[in-house]
Amino acid sequence: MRASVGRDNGFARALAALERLRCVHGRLVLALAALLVVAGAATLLGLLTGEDAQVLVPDRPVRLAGDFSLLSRSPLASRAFILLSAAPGTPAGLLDRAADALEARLGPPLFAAPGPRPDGTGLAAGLLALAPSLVPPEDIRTWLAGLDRAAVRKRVEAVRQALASPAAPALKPLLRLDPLDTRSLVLPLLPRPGAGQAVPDPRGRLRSPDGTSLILAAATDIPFTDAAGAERLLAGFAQAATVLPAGVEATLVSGHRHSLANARTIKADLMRVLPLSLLGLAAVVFGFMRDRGAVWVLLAPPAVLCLAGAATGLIFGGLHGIVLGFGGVLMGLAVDYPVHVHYALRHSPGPAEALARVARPLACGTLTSLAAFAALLLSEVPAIRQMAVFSMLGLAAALALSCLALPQLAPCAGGDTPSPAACRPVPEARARGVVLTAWVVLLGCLTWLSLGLAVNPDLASLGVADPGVKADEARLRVALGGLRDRAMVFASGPDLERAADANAAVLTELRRAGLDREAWSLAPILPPSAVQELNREAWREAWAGAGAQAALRELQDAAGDLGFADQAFAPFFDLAAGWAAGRFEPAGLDALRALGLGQVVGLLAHESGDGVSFLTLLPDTPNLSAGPGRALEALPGVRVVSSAGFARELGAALRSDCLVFVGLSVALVCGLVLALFRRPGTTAAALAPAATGLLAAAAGARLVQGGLGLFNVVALPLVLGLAADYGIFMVCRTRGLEASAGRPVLVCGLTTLAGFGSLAVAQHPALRSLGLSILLGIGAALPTALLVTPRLLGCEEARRG
Amino acid sequence: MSRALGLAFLALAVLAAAPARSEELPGLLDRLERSMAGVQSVQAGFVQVKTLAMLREPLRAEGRLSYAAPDRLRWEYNAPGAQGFSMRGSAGRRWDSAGDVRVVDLVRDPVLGPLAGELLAWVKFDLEHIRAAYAMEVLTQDPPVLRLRPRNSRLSRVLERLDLAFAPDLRSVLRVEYSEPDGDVTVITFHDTVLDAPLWDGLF
Repeated sequence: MRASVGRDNGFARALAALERLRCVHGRLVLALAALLVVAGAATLLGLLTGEDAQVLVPDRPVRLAGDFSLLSRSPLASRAFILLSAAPGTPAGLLDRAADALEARLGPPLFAAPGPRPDGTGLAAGLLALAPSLVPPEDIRTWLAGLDRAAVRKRVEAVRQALASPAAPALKPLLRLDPLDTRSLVLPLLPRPGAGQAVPDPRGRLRSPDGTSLILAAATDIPFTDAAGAERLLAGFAQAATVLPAGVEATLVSGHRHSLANARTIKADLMRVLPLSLLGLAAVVFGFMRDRGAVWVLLAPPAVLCLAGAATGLIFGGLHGIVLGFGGVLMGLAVDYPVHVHYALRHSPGPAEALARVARPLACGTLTSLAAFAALLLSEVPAIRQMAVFSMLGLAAALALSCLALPQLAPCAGGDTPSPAACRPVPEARARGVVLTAWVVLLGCLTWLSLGLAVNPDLASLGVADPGVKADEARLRVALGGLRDRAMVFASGPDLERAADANAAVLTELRRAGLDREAWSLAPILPPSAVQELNREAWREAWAGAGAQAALRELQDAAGDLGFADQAFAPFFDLAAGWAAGRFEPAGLDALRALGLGQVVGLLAHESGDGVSFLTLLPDTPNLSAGPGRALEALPGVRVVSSAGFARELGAALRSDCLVFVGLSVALVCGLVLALFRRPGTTAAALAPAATGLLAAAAGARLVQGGLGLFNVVALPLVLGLAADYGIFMVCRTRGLEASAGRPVLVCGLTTLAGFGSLAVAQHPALRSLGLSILLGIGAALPTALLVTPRLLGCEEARRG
Repeated sequence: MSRALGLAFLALAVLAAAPARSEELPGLLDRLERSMAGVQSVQAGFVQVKTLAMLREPLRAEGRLSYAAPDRLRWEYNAPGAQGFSMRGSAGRRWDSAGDVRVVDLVRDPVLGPLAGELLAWVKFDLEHIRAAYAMEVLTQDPPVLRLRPRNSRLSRVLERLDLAFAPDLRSVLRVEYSEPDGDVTVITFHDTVLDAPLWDGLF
């Protein structure tokens, strides 16, 4: 009792201080508030940071965030794939010509300039130049040892036969450069995906397993989250595709199409929902208030949005678009406090009396809402933590504006205080029984419907599932033969040399595990420079040795015998002389690109300011992470990321996140309400709307969406905070602390439903799930607050006699 | 010899054509298209003589061509060594004088694939494709000879020009001569051409 008295005195002193501040510096407070709102709006515009999905992924544990960062930066995720398909029976060369023509039109500024594209023989000739750096010493020694007189003659005869064939014009340069088929030592080193996967053809493009499609992996500087850039990119692609011959069609598949589809859907949603919401909001406010103070009530939410948004952006160094979107919903909460203050002003002789009437329930309501959102600070998802800070700052701003600015702007109408008889519930025993029975039945149904509710960790479910994009993605998946579904081994280093070292170590480990034949890696054609140096030295010794010189003499003799001109193989003799003299070309990323392997290099290597990463693709088997994956991760600079494993870990992290912060929110709100009312029965009555709202939102999520999405989860504390406020105000009204609460609670609930429940009809899944949770949660909490809470209090009073 | 056969050799040589300057070209192409329409199969022998800088003497070879609509083709040499390839849609085989036979995916083969694709387009007398890939001119009207030059740089790296001499009835090609940028020349002369006779399916 003494503590309670002390708390009441403290509260009274705080109210008196507030009143002094308002009376003495009222105009200054107003000017300051206006200035802050304008400054907040300007700051907010500069702090918006786009829609990077990274903030939607848990950053604790660190591994999950790191995996997502690697996945999103991996070339397989960040490139724009162009699928070129031809009708059955189309001539084999038509797709290649179509790809040539299309690539010629896909240049800067939208796409990176395509690298050189050799023909099949050009690639073989280019690889021959790199052979000394790539071929292991034992291979060249064994090969030269088998090059006796008979073998040389047989190869020269094969060259003569090839010259007779129709393909001779194309093959001739290669036959002159490599009559002994030295290229057979290096061609097997080319990166090849496993069976059933898309394979790079000799011109460096990916070809589908059935051969009917070509896949171009086009690099672009436009981030796939940039909707405006995506629109330019897709328009540029459509224009370029007009060059395709009849019978060939091109489809671009990338995150850009998702971004554009989402942006267009959100825009269409806002164009439809926003006017309806504003109309509904205004209709409720003006319909119930009918005075000029209603204008100021309506202006409070956007002011809160600016202030809270700017402050949150300053704290986090930027504000994510999704957080701002959630801010729109926060406006539903921000309108409640001005409504309560406005009604108190209307029914009080002066601002001081009005504030005294609503101060306690307002303070309690704010505390419970702050507690509900504070629990979100424990979330492992950065966006949820940003939303928590944003919401808490918004609540504080709404409370400050309501208590300091609104009394200046909407003066008191004079004390038409409703009589206690009009305010206090007089629930008849029979009506009470019917209402409470119906409510208990409703709670039971909602609980039953909510059973088995699970968290849906799929980030893709937050976006628009455009059927056209989905169908094209499915076609690309088939064309790539599941290449994008493979586990990825990242071998990284601060520079090319150290990354190549790590990549070579990965290949060695895969050989040990017997997985190298299934791996798609650049390691065989890009060994570390120390290894290249050893290979070159062995190659030089081999070609300077007696065995190679004898083979060259045999070649000359056989060529003469079979009618070849003296200079027929001059390019090869020059090359061999250079090898014996130690003239070599080192293998590097640029050398591989120059050969026409730019597409493959682009997919398996990533260079950035942080260093270089090489990618090795492996079959994503369930035991990968347990066995070989563990051994690989023991290597320095190596990380194994499995898409299936990532989805599992993400799901587990989101589930645990959801349980922790929803549970904590509920516990904090219950604790605060219990501390306020100190009686279990009264506390239960105050919390009845919150319980009903939460269960309704959960049941709705399970029935309509099959599970809790990220936005449902975030909406739960909002429903909890709003519904707890309704309960607190209704209890205070019944206990005579705030006599006019019934009408304001009704107005608050209706504004929320009219303003933000309409999001439930939006096409965008994130907006729709948010709207659905609010519509169902508040739709159930509001009648519970108005009808059930007073009757529960009646029971409590009856029980206490 | 059919129109299909003659045109096929344009492709086999890694083909080409040149800008249509002659006013007679549209009329000749129109007559060729009509006279060669509806051919279901072709069989013919040929003699090929290549004059190459790599060899001291011209390289002579003899062989046979078989085609069955819509997508089967066999191109084989009998002398001096037995080698060649056959195709059925995108599936192919090739063999050499050592008896080595390989199954080939023509869609993926960087040399044989485009070659076979071009050949098939010519066998079907896909005039739209031919016009897109080659520039053409009429060298002489009697006998009818067409000269083709490739428009595309990939083809022009291996083929400078190609001359086709047709039989007076325009139903077959008598002679193909193609020149490469390095001066090498190939002449193929066809004989014993049979049109629309039944062909053994095992050929392909």
